[in-house]
Amino acid sequence: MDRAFRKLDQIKPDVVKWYTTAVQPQQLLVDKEAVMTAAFSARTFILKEKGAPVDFVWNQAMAFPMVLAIPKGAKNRDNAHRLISYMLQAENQARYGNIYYYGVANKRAYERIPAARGRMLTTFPENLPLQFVQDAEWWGKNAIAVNDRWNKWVLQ
Amino acid sequence: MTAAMGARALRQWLPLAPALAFLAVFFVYPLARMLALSMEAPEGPFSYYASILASPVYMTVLGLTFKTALGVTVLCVVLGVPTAYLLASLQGTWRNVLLVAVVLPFLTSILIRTYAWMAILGRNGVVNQLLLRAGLTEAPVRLMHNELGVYVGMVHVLLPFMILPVFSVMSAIDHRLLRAAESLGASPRRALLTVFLPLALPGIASGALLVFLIAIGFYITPALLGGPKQVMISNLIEVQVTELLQWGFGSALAFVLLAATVLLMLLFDRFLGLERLTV
Repeated sequence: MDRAFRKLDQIKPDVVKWYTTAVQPQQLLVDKEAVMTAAFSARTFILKEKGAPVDFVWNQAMAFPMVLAIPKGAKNRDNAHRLISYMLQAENQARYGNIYYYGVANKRAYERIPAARGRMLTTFPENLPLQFVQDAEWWGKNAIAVNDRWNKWVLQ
Repeated sequence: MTAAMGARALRQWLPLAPALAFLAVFFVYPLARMLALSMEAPEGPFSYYASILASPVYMTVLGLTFKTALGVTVLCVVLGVPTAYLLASLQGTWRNVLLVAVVLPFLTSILIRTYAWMAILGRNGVVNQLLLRAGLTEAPVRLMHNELGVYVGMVHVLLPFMILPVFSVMSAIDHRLLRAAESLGASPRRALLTVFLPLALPGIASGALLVFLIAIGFYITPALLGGPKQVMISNLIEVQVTELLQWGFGSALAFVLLAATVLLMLLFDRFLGLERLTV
């Protein structure tokens, strides 16, 4: 964490805005407030599709998985399992990947998604090795401490 | 006698029952729940409060929040009072046109107005393009993502809260009093300052208080138009509640803000008198 904050010290003078909502980075790019930013891939992909002169790379991107969860003791647990396996079938995941802008969970779905589109999605086989997966467990333990340190640092 | 008084009190209070019930369910109860939540800390009921008071970050941000709210209030008084005076002294069509101009932004969402300011104040925004084209600057001037952006955005959003109470008080002032003052030898300027302005003061005070109280809780405008150092206490509360799921700590922060606000209100009451306020 010390290393991370040292890096932040280094870039601080050149940062236009520490954004707080997911829509801000795209706005900052389109308004030419910022020349580059970290952003959600899907939103940037959509911006690119609409013809904005932006592009993105996957290097050192943070991937964070979304999960499907069943509450403990749920009455319809078996049906929930069935629903999840239906959702995760390659065919259905491909449908999802063809209309939605985030990565799909089943790699075989990419056989049914045009490569040009697939390349824009997080979990495309060529993209995945370039990224690291957010360590949810670490953040669960340390988010409060990081937030405190961040608040102090940002006001300095 | 007492029965008659009881019946009278009932007649007075009964129509308030729905409003009181509403407040009890949607205001008093949630507030009490939040207070309880803020005291459910593992290290004892006041440990959240102790760590907030001991933390330089929260105290600094609270100070910044009050400083920003005060600055915005002063600007709103400076800009709003003359506007209200103009409105109150106009008649007919112009008065209506100007009133609509004051009220119209009121009906537009804060978010939209804030985004509009981003388009105006941005690096490639309207103001910077005019400045560049007029040759007044060679590079775009930084108008937002700093204190200036926050002040512009907040004053714009809050100005109607200042203008409308002052306007309503000023319109009710009997202009014959001014003429009376002038007939007794006061210059128009003196009549304005010694007769008109003191009469308008309750309106100015209530407008200022309204602006200040709303400004303290501001959140979206500073988040979008401010820079890294324009952090308001609401932004910190939001992170605690929605990102860190620290509901107890977030509640404690909210109560510190509430306590500070109530304290200010009491001070205000002590020196200016809340009962003199009119809207």
